[in-house]
Amino acid sequence: MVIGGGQAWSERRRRNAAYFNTEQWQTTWFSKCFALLQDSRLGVLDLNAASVAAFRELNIRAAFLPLLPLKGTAFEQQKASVSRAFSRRKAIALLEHPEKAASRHYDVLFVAVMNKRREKKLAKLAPSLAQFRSFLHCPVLDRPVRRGNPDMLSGRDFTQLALNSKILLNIHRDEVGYFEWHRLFLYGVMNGCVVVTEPSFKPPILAEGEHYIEAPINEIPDLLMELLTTEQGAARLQEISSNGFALAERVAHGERFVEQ
Amino acid sequence: MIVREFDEVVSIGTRWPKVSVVIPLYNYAKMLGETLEAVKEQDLGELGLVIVDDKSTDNSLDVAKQWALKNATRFAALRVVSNRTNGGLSITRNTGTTITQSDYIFFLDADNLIYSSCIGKLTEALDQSDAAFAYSPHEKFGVETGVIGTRVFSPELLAQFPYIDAMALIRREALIRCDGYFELRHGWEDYDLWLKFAERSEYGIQVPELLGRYRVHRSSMTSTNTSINLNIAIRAIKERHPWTRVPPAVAPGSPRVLSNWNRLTFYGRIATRLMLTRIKSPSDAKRYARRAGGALRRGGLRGVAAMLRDENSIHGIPEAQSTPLLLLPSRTPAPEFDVAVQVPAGLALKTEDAPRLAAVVHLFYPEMAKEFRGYLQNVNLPMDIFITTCSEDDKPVLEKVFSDWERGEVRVAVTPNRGRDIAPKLLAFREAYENYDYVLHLHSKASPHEADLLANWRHHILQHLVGSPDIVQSTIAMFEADSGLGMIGPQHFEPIRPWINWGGNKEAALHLIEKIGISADPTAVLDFPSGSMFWLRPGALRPLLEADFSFEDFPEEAGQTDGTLAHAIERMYYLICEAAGYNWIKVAAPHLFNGLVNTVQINTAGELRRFASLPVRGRADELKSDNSHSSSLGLERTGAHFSNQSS
Repeated sequence: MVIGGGQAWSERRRRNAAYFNTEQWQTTWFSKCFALLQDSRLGVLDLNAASVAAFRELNIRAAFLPLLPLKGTAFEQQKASVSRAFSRRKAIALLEHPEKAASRHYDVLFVAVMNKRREKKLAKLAPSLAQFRSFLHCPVLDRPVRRGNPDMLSGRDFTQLALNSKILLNIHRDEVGYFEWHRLFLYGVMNGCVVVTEPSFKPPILAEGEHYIEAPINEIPDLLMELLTTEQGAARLQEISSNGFALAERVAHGERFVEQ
Repeated sequence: MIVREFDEVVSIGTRWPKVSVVIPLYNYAKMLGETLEAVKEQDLGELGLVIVDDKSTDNSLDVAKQWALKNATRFAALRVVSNRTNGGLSITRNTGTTITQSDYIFFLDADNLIYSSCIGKLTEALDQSDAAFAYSPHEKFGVETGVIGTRVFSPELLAQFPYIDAMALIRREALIRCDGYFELRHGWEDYDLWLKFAERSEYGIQVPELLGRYRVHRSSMTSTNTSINLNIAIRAIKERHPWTRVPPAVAPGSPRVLSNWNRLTFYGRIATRLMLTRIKSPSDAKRYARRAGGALRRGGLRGVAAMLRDENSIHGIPEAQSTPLLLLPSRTPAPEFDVAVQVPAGLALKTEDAPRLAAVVHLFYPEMAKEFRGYLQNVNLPMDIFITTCSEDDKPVLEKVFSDWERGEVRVAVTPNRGRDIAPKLLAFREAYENYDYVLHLHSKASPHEADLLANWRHHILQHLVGSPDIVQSTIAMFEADSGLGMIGPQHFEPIRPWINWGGNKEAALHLIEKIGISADPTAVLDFPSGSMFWLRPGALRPLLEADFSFEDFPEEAGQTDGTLAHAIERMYYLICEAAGYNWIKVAAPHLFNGLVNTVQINTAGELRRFASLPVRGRADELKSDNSHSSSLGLERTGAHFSNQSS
């Protein structure tokens, strides 16, 4: 809306529009849209239930729009190999999509847009990550990514990587503990890839320790060591991975999990 | 491939394995040991090692020799050599390339480190692809920490800036095919090599793991690079690879990256503060959101800002850190102090005695002629149009597009391609400044150096100057209402705001100040009609017109993005206007800023005169003098109001 054709809309048309928000609240993009959202007569659909609650606190009409990669929907993701364009740019292992968490090729998957904070935190974790097989996709982007951008990771390719990784590492973009729902739930939890994240706002439906693990950055090296090199750790990974699949099943069967 | 003659200091083994490490060495005696240990600890079994000392003046060569003799059994082949004369980094790497016979060469600078799996994983990647080289992201350590090299190899990205470090595994054959490293005096030899690969349709594959450790230390070339050196390096790269588009380096303290602009916006700061780290739980968030919502309703964004300041003081956060409204760095006019007149303004034009209008339009890009013709249609007053272009071929095209202009005469002239749009507009039709009351300066601005980001800049300007008949009428009405008003320019396009400073043009500007005999403080906050399009009263340009410039005073077009007389003039328009004894104002249409702009609504000639006569900083100060919707000047404030509490 603030960069596309919507800029040319009349004020009346903007007010009468319903908005679909995918942005995190602390981002500049969100702040650019906020004036439009709060003036909307129809309200806002948001893919994050936590954001919906916050909108309502500000007296903005809002509803949760769960866009999930469920079977039979436009968002369904099949098991496949990654795209040729992506594998030509990055060295990628042969992906076998094993059922068991412990058999997955990559130990740690990290997908994010790089910024100074993430750089610093990732550098802190470098000696730890160097001991494992990791896959980093964290380009520095200074503008919205469009199709054809060489740094673009498609949802389809992300899914394949998640299905072949034991852990999805999350480092928040800033000091705000926003739980990056679309990345952590849709790609991590729903694909049985265990989310290890810095402490976050509590997301709806998910329980810490059951569906994901929280740890401050300085504790993550020990946590990775335990999860990836000990029997107890492997069992814990398997349990949380299975919980993720089970949750995905419940969602697929239409369980309503967020109060509307 | 240019190499140096060398003397062999250590030579062990004759069978070169698949992979060798080449270490160029110059005065890193203290760090070399750690670097060599990291090579020794590599998981990959068979390795070759070549250390090329480039006439170090410390005991680097001794350290290398002793270590090599002690660890010789680790390597299938090992050489320590010494250049007979200092050759520089590129030539030293090339020398190493000719010594080893391995298929793959890993270049490791003597102050950097690698993790134990590094070379093995890069080797695997080259084995399984046809790439010319394999690289990985690296951890930065030392005086600065972070990560580099996270982007994938892409000629399109490489054209814009270097982002792949030299610490990479390269096929020796590919390296020799492109004649090795080219010696560049101010660095970026590795960047040059990646560009050469791109030109040959060869590519690099990224191994997406942190495999290397790039040391940042005070004496490293990168840390001591000045913007001047960087600009020399950029020029050298552009000469060798004309397809690159690396933007000029900026001096320390200036905004570094144009696209950082949006991080500086007011809303961005407010929104970030709304979700501060203090919010530890959903109940905290709820409480905070409720308070923010209340503050927003009661006092608008200023109310939210006040609430945040209160919160910060409760939590003991110093004001300097806590204010959401930090000033922009450098002398760029901060939005908090930058107030424009809202257009269309509330003044009507009395048309009994219509003023004489002229448009002076430089159309270097004739394909934009129809667009300009369309915008000028909004001038529903008599107006003559003076068009310049730089090619005889374009003249009939332009004449045709403007052939149906019925509100006056149209003349087209071909000028030398010097001085961008500035020289043609000033020099080609001097009569435009003698026979008309008000002149409109326009030109076919394309900004090819930042085409994507600045795509809307031209439209932003045109919308403000000739975006509608109401805007045009009220603009002329403002000139008519205030005889002291010399120029009316558009408020800055926000992405360009970080560039509103002298840039590399201060020297040329000082020269200009001297030449045209005006006084101006080059250290003051600078403002100018960014984009060089504006309405003017010819008298406001008098000092410049009387300076009697000719086209020869402007350098030939060579793609300069800064530093020319034209760039200096662009930055001095408002100063020249002031020197001529006139005031200037900027105008803004709030809908073009999503409402995020400081504006005043002008309804009377008196209001306009009072506002225009205030100094730039004073305009904002007057407007913030109270919290109501009218200032002490009696002006009605509109738009979003940037507070300047942090000043």
